[in-house]
Amino acid sequence: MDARTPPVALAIAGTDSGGGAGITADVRAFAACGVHGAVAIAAVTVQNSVGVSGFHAVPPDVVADQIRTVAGDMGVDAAKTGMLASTEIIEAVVAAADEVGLGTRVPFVVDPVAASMHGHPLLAEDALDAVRTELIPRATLVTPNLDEVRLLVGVEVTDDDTAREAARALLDLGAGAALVKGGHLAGSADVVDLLVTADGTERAYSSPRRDTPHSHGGGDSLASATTAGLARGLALPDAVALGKAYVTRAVEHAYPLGAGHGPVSSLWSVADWEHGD
Amino acid sequence: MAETPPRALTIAGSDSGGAAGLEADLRAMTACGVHGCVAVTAVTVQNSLGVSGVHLVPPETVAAQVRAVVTDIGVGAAKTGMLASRDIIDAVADVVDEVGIGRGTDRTPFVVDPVAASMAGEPLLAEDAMEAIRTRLFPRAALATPNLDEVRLLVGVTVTDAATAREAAEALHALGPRYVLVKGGHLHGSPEVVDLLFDGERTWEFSGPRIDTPHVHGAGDALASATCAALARGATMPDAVASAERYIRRAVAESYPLGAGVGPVSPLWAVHAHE
Repeated sequence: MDARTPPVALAIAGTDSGGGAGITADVRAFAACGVHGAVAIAAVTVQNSVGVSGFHAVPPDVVADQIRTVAGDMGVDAAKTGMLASTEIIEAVVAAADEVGLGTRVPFVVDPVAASMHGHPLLAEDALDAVRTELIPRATLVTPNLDEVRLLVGVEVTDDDTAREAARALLDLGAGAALVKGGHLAGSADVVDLLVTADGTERAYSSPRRDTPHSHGGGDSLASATTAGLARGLALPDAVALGKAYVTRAVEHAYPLGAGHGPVSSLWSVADWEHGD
Repeated sequence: MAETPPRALTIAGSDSGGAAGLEADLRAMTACGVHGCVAVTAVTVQNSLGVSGVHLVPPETVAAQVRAVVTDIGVGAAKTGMLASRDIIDAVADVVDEVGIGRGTDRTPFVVDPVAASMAGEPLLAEDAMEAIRTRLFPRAALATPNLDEVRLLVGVTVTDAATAREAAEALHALGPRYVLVKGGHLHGSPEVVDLLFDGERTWEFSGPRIDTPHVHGAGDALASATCAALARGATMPDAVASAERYIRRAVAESYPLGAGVGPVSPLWAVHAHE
């Protein structure tokens, strides 16, 4: 491999026309973390700061072909999923993932996106089962927020003990590790994300809670930056630490956009190349 | 919390390999300090060796994305990339009129990168779509940015030197854009790359040494996006193109091999690798 070639990370997800979340957040997080970002687009959403007003699902075979064509030529050092929209797309992703070694040779982060931050469903109801039985068993790491935890394993997380219980329930589904993200636990002073791995390792990642309505794309950014860390060869707890550091900074720099929820920002990572370097 | 940055919109296809298309656009916009929004027109199955499949997004979904972004978030400039079909071009032409994106100084600046040829110079668009670029998009363009293969397909001029570049610029300008940028990057063999900007009267030349690399995938997209970003930040057209030329020269110089074919120009130098 040429020394100039950076590691390659792949996002399998939907686009957000507003540019705050989904593939758009993934592409920016990958670049900010120094890896080449490739994509397999699963859905195109019509979306702005107020919500999702429409979406177009990409045919499952086209989703799988994107994964194959990237992995077969440039190779993939780590991959992540976001919005997968339907059971058929999940099944196509799983088939292609098995072919190219995602979850076995290649670290595979499953961010089980089930609803937008405005509560719009981004996943058909019958697809939750496919997330549980097809996707999570292949995951190196699964990264649900508290709403997704409730949908997936029926645990209401309110404190450390219930977070641990939720993580163990996710491991029971077959994930190699679970990161239970506390960001949606309103009222606590810190945001604590709990990592529990199948071999019993536990690590808590804490950051001060920011009082901002502008957190669109926060979950995607955490999963993408963690995936970038894995693509760079970091051990899982260190990759999650990188993801947490990135998203904490991105939330600090979040900005208002439109009439609703603004996005977390990657712009702080940009050099002032026009003036100086 | 940070202040809301300028916003720019790309109306383009996705490249699964992440080298070109809307992925290159988003990275260039970010590197230029602008929030990038997207209206996806097509999903390509693509790697460093070429395109092996294309899925078109329904024209009404393309238009709905543009509308959702402009009416809520607002944009300071917009650009097009691969528009794939006559129907999509028609939908884009109609929706930009509706939301105030276009050619005139009273409109949000519209950069038309008439993606019509592959890196190998092969046509990517059916003739009826080429005709729609000429008759529906160019009259709405504040800036059109064809490479030399696209110049040949659009106006039938084969550019080989300064005189034919000027001839091409005049033929393209006659189709309606306020400014035309004839990009000389595909003129192999010359030691310098010269891009010619023309507004119907005045010309501006942007030149630099040709960088000896095969890895230039996404260069055209990145140049158009960086120009679009500078326009969104309020630059005049000549200043916006000058800023984008600085960006793309560095991105080409820092390009990297990827896969068995053509690697991408790089935006990575413009971000601090996050530790």
